[in-house]
Amino acid sequence: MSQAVTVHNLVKRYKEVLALDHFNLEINEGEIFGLLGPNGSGKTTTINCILSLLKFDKGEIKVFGKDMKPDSYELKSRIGVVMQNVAVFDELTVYDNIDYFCGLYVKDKNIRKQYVNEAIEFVGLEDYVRFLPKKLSGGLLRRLNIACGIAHKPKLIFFDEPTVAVDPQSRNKILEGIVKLNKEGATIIYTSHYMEEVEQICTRILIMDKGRSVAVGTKDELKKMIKNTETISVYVQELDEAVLSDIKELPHVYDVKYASNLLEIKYSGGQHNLVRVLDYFKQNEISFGKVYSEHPTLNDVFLEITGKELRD
Amino acid sequence: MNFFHCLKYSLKTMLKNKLTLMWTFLFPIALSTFMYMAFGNIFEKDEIFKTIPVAVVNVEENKAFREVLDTLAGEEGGSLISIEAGDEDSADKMLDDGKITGIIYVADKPSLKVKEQSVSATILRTVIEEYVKNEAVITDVVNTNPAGAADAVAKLTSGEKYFTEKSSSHGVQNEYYNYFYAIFAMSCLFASFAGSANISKLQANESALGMRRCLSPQHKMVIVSAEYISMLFVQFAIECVTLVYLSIIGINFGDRYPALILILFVGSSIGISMGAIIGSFSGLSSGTRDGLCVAISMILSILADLCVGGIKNTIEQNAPIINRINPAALISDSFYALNVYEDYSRYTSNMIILASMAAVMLIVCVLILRRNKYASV
Amino acid sequence: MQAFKLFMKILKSQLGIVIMYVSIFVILTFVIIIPSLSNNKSQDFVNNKCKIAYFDYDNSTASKSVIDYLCKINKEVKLKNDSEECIQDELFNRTVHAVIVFREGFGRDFEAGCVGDKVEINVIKNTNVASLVENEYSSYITKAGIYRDNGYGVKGAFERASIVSDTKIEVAMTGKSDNKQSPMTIYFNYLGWILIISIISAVSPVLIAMNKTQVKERVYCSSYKFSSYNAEIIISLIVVGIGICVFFNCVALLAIGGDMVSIKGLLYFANMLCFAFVAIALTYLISRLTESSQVVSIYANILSLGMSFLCGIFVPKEFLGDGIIRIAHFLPSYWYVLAVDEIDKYNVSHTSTLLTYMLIQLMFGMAIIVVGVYLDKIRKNK
Repeated sequence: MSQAVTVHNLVKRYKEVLALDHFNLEINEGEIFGLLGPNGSGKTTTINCILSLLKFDKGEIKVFGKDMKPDSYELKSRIGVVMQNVAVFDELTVYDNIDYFCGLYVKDKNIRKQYVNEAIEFVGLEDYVRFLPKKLSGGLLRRLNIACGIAHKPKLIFFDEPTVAVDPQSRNKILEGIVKLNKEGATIIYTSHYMEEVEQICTRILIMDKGRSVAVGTKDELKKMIKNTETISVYVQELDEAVLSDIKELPHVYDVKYASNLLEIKYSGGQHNLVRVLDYFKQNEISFGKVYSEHPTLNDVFLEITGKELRD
Repeated sequence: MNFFHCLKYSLKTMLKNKLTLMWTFLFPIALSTFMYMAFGNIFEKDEIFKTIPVAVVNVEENKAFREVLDTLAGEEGGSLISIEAGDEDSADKMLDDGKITGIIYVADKPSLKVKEQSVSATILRTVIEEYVKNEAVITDVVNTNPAGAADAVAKLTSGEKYFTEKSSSHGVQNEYYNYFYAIFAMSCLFASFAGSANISKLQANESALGMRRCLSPQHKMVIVSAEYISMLFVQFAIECVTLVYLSIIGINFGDRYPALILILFVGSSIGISMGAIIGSFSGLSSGTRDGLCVAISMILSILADLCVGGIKNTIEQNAPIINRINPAALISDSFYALNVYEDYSRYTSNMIILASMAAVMLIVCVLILRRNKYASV
Repeated sequence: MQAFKLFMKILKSQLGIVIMYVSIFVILTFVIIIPSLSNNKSQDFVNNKCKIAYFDYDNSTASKSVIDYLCKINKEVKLKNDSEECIQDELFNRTVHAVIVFREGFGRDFEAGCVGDKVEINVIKNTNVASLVENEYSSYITKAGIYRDNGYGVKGAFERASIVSDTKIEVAMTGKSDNKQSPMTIYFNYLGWILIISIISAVSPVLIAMNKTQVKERVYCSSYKFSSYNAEIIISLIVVGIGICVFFNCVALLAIGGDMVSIKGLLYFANMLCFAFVAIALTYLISRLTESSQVVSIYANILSLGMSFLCGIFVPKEFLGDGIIRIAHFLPSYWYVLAVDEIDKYNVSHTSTLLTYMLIQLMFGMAIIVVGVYLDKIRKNK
């Protein structure tokens, strides 16, 4: 599989702050690649370096196998970017904004018109084409921002935290749209600190922290990197130490916590763990309330590897 | 085709900024109106010759002198003096009130009283002294060659000139026109605001919009040219309206309109180019950029006589190279050259310098923008 | 004093820009003032002398005598050359009032008694100075011609003509013999322009930062009283205005020296403070009207230059039309200029007049601030 983006040994410093610390990245064509990390981990800096907007101190970056420079116009024509901050003209209507940006990539008037209409339909702004940006809500503005970035049907699209401060309806629409774009052949690079979104749509994920790559792989591969495979939570009143010791002895259990009437049992491997726990309570006539069985999240992966939460 | 696409939207965004557009239009018009109101009178009041009002007081009998005064007052088609009736007290009062320039005392040795030094007072003094001198000449001639006295009198009163008067130009010689030329220069240079703001919007570290435009595959030259031409169109329209307005209120720029319009076009270009260069430096804050635009425009305009006359000339005497590279001085001088000179050589050289400067600045701007990579966005 | 503290903090962060504007305008003040010291319109006829230049290609007794005489009674100016372009430029700029060119043969013609086409007087037609210089020449050459015709010889004719032409009459002057303004007066006169433009340009960026719509909305939602907020901003402006005045006064002290340490100097400073109040009021008003720095600059220039032209700063009051003077009464700069003139010829008995002028300026300032506050209130209620 050919690679859309390769980053090798990237170092970027902002005065005393080391934003990227020998960072490496490989993105294959046709992926939805997630870049996950807490605020300040270097996600946006990575994107800006790849796009040749930022000077970097060391390293090598290739896009579609070629060096990316400010005047690499051929490469730029294949890239679309949806920025973290809304990047539209306040003076132009929704239609004019999309038309203008599409026109920077597509010369043919008829094709451009078609693309613009498709983009408007894609983001669901048909009812707002004559509106000025200041009249749109935050969610609609973000949708306009996306339309401006993808109207020209790029082959490589960067989404930099596109769902910040967006209503749930718009968020779902955005995520669905990204998956659709990928199905139509675009390689997507998606950065976020919302792990649920990344888990939902990304085929491969890189977790980064403090400018370094912490872990990379599919979500299943990442989850396999950690000990925890299942967490069972049970609401139980008044459990004594003997019970806790018994539970600790159950197969595949490696950690047990009990606080505020909530019993948390962590498993490493094993099957039917829930049945075993429930059998134990039944046999020992211990009454219990709600029961949850959860598989590890990327937050768990991040927590185990770095010792802190993704959402700081 | 992309160029026209960029041009269309550039014009659209510019024309939608109604408040800025309105004030940019009003700026040169308001300024030139105030100037016109202030200067309206000066050339007439101060420089053009007018009949001088005087009072005449008879101290001693001097028929000949009195006849001379009456003759001067009675000349048809613009007499030198006009004699106000009254006695000595009323004459003093009229002098104090400024109704007359001076009081002429008719005596064997005539004398003059004025309120203050002025051109008119000097002319009065000269006229009376002339009488006294002529009297002395006649006396000398009578003493040495009485037969020549009549001829001497005839020569003294003939008014013959004995010189050739030359006026280099048929154009308007009102020096206050320098101020109006400087207004055009200032308003052209103030276009640097628009140049700086619009070009900095192409910078990735200025805004998300700048970033998006940087990432497009559009050659910087195309985007910058489109921005430039739309700004030029707007600024040029403003200057033309100002020219029409000033012509209507009575400022005479001559009738070489194509050449005048070319000055406005090239002047607008240089202002925008200046701003474009300032806007292309990515390290500057918007406050600093605006400050630079104001500072440069004002300093250059003041050196071209915007507020006080004589500065441009002083520079011409002592460091003329400054006037050759000061766009405001070049614009002002182009107007002046069109006004007073028949041929176009001085005007043409000014235009060439201005156009070259504008082109060079634009090219440098594009080169800076093309290669821009930022330490921080 | 939250608003006051905020103003000062933002000012501190923008100090570079403030210093830049103030420095530029100080430099511009001197660029304008220095030529004005010798280019004072009312001084154009110091000792009744015109400015003349000459080019003598004849080098005869006649031409030299004429030149000696004219240069004695006028002021001689040297020109680079006698090209048409040079003469035209110097005449237009009033560097010279007349340029006299003696061609070869002038002396010969004089001896033959037909002087005329070998001497050119370049002037701007129909002006007072043109007729003055032409008459001086004609008078002298006519007299010399008469003496030549009556047996004096060429040299003798010119000598006698010079003696006769030296005759002076008695001229009494009732008014001031010297219209010259002192450097202090010229400086403070131009300050009427500089204060407005420098204060508006330097302080507006701070107000624009404080007036950003979303920031303002936050303030409106808070429990901070509207009147307190505005009052603190005005106090901050006054503090900054005083600072800028002190700065300009120090510049004056350095440039003018000891003369500033006097009653007059103190009065000029007081007058400047009153006018600075007008300037800050205008800054406050402009900040309510726009958030665009380009529009602020346009307002600053229109107001400062417009008032300076109409109120006697760039164009002396005596040259302004009566209608303009009437309009000027409604502009604060006019009262500032009147006060400057009053201080120039200061007399203790005129103190009340001077105080009136200063009070009028303060009232203008108050009125402008009231308008600004009113506009702010409308915006808030919108």
